[in-house]
Amino acid sequence: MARKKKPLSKNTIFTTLIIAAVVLLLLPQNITKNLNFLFESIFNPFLSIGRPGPEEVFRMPSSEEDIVSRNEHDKLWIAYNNLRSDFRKLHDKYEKLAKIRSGLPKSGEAIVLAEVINSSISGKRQELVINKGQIDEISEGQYVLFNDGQRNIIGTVSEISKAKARVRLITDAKHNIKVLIWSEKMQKYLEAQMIGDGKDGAKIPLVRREYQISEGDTVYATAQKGFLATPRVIGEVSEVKRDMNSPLLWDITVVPVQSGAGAQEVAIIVEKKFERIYKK
Amino acid sequence: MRWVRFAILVLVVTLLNAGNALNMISVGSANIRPDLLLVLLLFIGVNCEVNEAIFASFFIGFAADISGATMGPYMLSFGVFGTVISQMRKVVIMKRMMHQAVATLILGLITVGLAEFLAALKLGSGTSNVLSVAVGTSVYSALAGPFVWMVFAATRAWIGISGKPYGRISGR
Repeated sequence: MARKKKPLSKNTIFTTLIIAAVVLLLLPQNITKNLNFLFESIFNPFLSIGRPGPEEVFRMPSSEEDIVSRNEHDKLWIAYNNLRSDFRKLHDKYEKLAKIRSGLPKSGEAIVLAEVINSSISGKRQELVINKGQIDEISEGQYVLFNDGQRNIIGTVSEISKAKARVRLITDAKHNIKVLIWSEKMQKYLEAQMIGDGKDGAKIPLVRREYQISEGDTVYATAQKGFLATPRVIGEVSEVKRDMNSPLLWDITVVPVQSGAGAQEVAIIVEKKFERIYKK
Repeated sequence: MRWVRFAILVLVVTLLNAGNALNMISVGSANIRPDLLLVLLLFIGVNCEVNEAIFASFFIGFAADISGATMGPYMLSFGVFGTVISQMRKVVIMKRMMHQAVATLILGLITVGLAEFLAALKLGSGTSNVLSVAVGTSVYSALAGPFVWMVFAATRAWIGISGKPYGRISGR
């Protein structure tokens, strides 16, 4: 490493590099994310060697008598909860429509299928990279479903580039989603925020203990205009205990109905905009 | 140092670190894995001359960033603390496995913790598990570090690290 020329001092090297690092840190994520997407695009074949994450954990409420197979029971349980949610939504809609007739054009949902080109499942982040982006009408916040027969929600789109998008799984510690808890005891929905625990579940904080939440209660992703037309099952309350830091609140643990770790193909719910047609 | 060969080594380690290959040895429901770039940072900090170590530390940080979710946090964190390690090689010998493990643990707690904190600031979304991830990654890296260190030690000549290994060499 001996150089004939006068070498740069260590102070100069350190100062220059630290300025470069600070500039990169301060540059908006919208700009720097392209570097991350570029790296993933180039080295995807190497990055995807090996199993994508931990084995899928799919726990369901226990039943004493298995009349049907466990697999069938799980499917039916999810389908039942989704149908109940749809029914309640339709019932509410019917009541409204019975009173006023809406003549305005409405938005609907469409599905865009995408392949998972890389997945990163670790304590730091639990994300998938998919091969659809801005040009396919993907935008941040859209719900992502596991593209199997059941199509359960596994996460939301967190970042997009022109042809790729990053999906943050509901178990990611940065993932925050508005949910409804169906309380069997109270026979009503409770609104709450669900945050991933960075492992294989999620937590629902800030729910007061006066609400009767119990293990086995169903958790739904809330319907959101432009993103999700009706609430969909997202998980199940697996543990309810008193919050050690705030005794007036519950510490609720949720197990997702489906882990996105092994997903090869996903479906993204995109808003389908109907054009207004005016008759002359 | 032979920089092209060093870049190849960093690329290989980065791909292993960011890819799914290490999931085979991940532990716990949080999928905690050893941070190979962290061990490389310590190895370079201890074995290279100060100027080389500074540049290499920032480069390793850049690699950690580009394979992660955002740019800047690891480059800053690894760069600063890699430089600190390179300064400390005047007084610290890391010949024994125990020393390497302890140094990896301390370096991991500081650098991973700082980088994740900076990433949360940049992305505007804090995580509840930063501490557990930093501790888990550091402990696992410390346990695996001495063995990974042996692999890096085998590449010393190939990447052109001069000087006696583990020696107390005065920095410039």
